[in-house]
Amino acid sequence: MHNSLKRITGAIAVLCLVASAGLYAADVPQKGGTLNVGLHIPLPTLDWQSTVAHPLPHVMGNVFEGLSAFGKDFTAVPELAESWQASPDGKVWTFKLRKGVLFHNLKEMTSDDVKASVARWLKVGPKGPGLTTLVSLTTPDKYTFVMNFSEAIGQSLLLTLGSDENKCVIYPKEVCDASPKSGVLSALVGTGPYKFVEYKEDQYVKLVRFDRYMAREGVPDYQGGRKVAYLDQIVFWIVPEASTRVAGLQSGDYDVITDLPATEYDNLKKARGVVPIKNGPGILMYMMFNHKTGPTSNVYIRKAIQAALDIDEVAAAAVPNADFRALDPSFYPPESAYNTSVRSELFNQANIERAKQHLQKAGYKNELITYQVIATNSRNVRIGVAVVEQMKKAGINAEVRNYDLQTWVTKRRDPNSLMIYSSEGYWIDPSLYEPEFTGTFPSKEVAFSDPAVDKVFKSLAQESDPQKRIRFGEQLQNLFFEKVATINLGYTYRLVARTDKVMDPEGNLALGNLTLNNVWLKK
Amino acid sequence: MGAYLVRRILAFIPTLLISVTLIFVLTRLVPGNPVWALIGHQSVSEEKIAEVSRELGLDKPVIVQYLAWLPKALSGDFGNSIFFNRPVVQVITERFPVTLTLAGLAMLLTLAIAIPLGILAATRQNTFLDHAASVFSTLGVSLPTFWLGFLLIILFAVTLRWVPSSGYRPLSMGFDQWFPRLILPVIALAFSQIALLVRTTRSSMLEVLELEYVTAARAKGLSEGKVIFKHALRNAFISIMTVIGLTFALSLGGSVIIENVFAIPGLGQLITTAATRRDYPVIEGGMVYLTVISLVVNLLVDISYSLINPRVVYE
Repeated sequence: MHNSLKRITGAIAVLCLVASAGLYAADVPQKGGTLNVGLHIPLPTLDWQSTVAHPLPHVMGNVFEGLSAFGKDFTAVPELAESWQASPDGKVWTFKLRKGVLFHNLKEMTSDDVKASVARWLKVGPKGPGLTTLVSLTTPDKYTFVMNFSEAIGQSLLLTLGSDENKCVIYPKEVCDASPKSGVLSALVGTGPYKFVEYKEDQYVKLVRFDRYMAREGVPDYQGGRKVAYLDQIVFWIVPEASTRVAGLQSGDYDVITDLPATEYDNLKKARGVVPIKNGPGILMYMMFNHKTGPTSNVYIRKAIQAALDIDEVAAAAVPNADFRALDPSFYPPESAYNTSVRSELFNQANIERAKQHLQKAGYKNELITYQVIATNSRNVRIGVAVVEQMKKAGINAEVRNYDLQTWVTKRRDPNSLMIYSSEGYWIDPSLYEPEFTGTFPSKEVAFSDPAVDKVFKSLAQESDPQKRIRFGEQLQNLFFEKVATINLGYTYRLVARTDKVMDPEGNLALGNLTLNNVWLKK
Repeated sequence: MGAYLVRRILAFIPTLLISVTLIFVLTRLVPGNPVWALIGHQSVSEEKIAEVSRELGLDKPVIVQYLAWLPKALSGDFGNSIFFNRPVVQVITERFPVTLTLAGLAMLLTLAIAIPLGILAATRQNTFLDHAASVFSTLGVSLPTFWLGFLLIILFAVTLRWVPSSGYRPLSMGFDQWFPRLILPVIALAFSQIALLVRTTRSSMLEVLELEYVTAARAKGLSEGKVIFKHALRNAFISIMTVIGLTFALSLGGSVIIENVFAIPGLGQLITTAATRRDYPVIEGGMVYLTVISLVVNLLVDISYSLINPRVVYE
């Protein structure tokens, strides 16, 4: 009897050990497997340096790396740079490069590659010309790269170089030399944890693990820190139809799917084996005006619209799922260190009387004010309809105009067509607003420009001290509200989803664009 | 017949010339710029847009672009796709087998179901079978294709997991990869075609079955099978053939909705994506391809009339 008890106890102990080992094994990252991603949009090119197009970071962010990238808190962190230092006058930036980093063609990355890449990005990149005060690029040694400026430049440099939107990624020098044109690369060779294998236009992009990838030391930090490639292969399938992506996730054809309407959240929550993920940072939905001609060039008309809007109602129309919208007066997302309540009294006023007073000051004579929307973008249409209805309540003769995307972009640049449009994006740092609000975007004939705003941008460009930058961010927000440069229509969050066999211990799938380092598949 | 064919083929030339000119002009008249899709339209300076437009030769006047393009286009060279950096003809040639497979299989399924069902409905007029066929064809014509597509996906891919939900694999990857992914899109595409063809077959057959020569054939004591298949169907087939030809020509142009719902990289998807991002060479090449397909299929349908019915003679 005693022996039997011992045997039973022993067996139970062994079973417990096996079970706990199994549980432990289930939590320990494993290498292997193919991750199938259902991507929502085709790629216009694979040359990240030459485009700000949205899908590039999702795919090529796993292949290419830059000097700097974004960490979990959306501040600049080193990626291929070991460290950086600005001279006391802010005119010379010295980047010490990581040693032993290999390109996918097994050539070591050196300062020559960095210099050639930055030079190419300055030429072909939409964001490259933004560095107007850059004087020269030098390479004192194999692992040192220097940027010389005619005026002081601050942290903005790192954000510009490392922004997902047209990142200054590093290609081998030979590739840069052989690829002078935008959008055309002689070879797709990067330094990232995954290397490019195949691209079938509008169908799929295939990546495999780069076994010689040299990860940084330390802890993972979204796009920076220690990046480990666990997956054997990643295939990005281009599936433009959201319902097809959802069905594909549920049927097991895809492991991760991107960019879903927030209305799918509740369905996905109920589905077996599927995990919906709210992805941030918050994306600002905003309204822009023709600042140069027509009724909206009158600041009192803009103030009238600002006063009339019930943002609660507009945001609810735009994003029906309350979990995926946020009312926040700041022009910097709730996740940004710059998020501020400065001039929040001018946000979400819903004050028809005040709007009417502004209209009177403007001398408004019932001129038609058109609001152009993208017919194929249902959120954009819903925002337009909601805003126009509220403008009408304030006595503004407003009308929605529907266009396809390309026509919408054309009209947006045309001073004779544009009055109001809305769009969305996230500006985690105030300096990132500069291209939109310095008199050139979307065209010189309609763009917002203001000397006080220019001055703040200049200060932001030159300043590296975080506290001072926060003050400049507040000044910018104050001016945006005061001049009604734009109107904040609330924030929305993206919805992505994964199956429960996809393990994402660092929470990368909840941050920005798809960053698949440290993501692994449970067997 | 030979002279007729030569005349018809010669008539293709002015038709094509007018078509390509119209296609070019209309494509360029529509507002937009492929550069916005290529490098982005958000926070990109006008100078950068102009620079890339220059690189792509889009800064030249439309007439200059047209005169440079026309001789090449007439020889089948539509230039390189702005987004794929490859000749348009190569891109279309790659997508054509996908669309042909989808259209071909859907047509086979349509013929296999619609013609027998249409004949049965006509020969058993006002019976349960006839009413069932009518209900089916009304449903088929009225159900939106995208809705049916999703319904099929939810039932067979998500719930039952019998077939993959979407995507396309070439036959070179193996039959087991290729065929299962085509089952649902083929059914979805064929459904409305079957409905249309059942209706056409039924009404054409009913019309013919009432004619005197059919009564005469029956009076002669011919079997019902011979009366229907040898005498009635052959005469009814002229209008059936017209519908088959039109439907097939339309599917060869690529079913935009089916290709989008099932993420199939066919011609419909290629041309609509090109239109969305203003990939002018692909739009132009694709539209010329559609024109040629339509001309050729119409010619083949016309030829088939004389083969089906010897009384149809082309001089």
